[in-house]
Amino acid sequence: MLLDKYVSRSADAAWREIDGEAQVIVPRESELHSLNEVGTAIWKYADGSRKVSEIVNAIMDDFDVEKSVAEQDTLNFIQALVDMELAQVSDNPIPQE
Amino acid sequence: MSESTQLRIADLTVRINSADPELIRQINQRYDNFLDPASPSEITLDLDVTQDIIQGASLDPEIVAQDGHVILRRRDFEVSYDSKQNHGSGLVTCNMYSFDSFLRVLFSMTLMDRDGFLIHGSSVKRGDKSYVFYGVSGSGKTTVAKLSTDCEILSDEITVIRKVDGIYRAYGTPFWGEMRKNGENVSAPVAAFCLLTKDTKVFSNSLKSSAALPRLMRCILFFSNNKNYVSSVMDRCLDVTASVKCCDLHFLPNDSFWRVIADVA
Repeated sequence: MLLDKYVSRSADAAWREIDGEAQVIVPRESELHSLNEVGTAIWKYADGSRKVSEIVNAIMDDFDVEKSVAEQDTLNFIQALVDMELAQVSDNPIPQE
Repeated sequence: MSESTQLRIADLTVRINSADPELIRQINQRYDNFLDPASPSEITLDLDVTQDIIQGASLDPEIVAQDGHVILRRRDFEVSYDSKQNHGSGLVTCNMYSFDSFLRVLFSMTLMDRDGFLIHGSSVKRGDKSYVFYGVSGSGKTTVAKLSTDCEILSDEITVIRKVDGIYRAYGTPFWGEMRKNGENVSAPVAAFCLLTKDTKVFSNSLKSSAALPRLMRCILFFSNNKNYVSSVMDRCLDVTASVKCCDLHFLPNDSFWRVIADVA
């Protein structure tokens, strides 16, 4: 269950936050990804120390949305990050480099 | 016995030594208005000529770290570069298309340490300002340069940008595209970075940093997969967007775009 996993953004990704939006690039792909406000918040929370369920709660508070909405958005976004190899999930906390 | 020549591009002087006189002769011919035998050299290259394909190298250029040096490599060149000593040595082919590619890779790397970068864009000097027109292949870089008849063309393909005394300047380069002609060896402060789009109307919109960054990043030449290097490129782009007007420019195949540029810049 993804909610119980720890999630960490890719250590390979270079990123900067501009006007509240994260701009993320994986050097080997040279493709820049522009994240929206919610995506940027999830990206910043995904530091390897939090479970996905904790990030859902944080998004719920930050954006004042119902839990079902926060959960669906967070799960979809993190799954997309994992599919693009921009994030990894683990049963245990993921140390940052 | 070694022969030498010296290029000065964007105020960066590169001395090239080679035992192959034909390589030096071709460089002198190809880069004629960028030759500068007098200035002290900042970078020295000792190059041998090969006719063989570099084993294990790809068709695309790459920069990889190896044993405390970086290797600039493609199938037709392989040069080991020590950025502390500003010295490179290795193999190139005696072909100016190939050598020009090597030089672009070298400059993309060395300019990062010198507050600069290469952008896939044409540029012109108009009065005491320069204008950079960037975009993907086919976006109209050469067209815009040709239409700017009252300007000095700095490049129709690849422009060097450097920050000097807090001001971004565009420099003429010998890195030509369709025009097959070296740019003027001059520079000027950049008034605007314009992202080109061919259209049926002429208009321009300013781009805020978050919009300009990804567009600029796509057109900056860098060949390294190193995260720190890519982060440096991002930071450089951010500084550009904070310092210089960035806009998109929709244009017709005539010089009417200069009217809207004046409004933006």
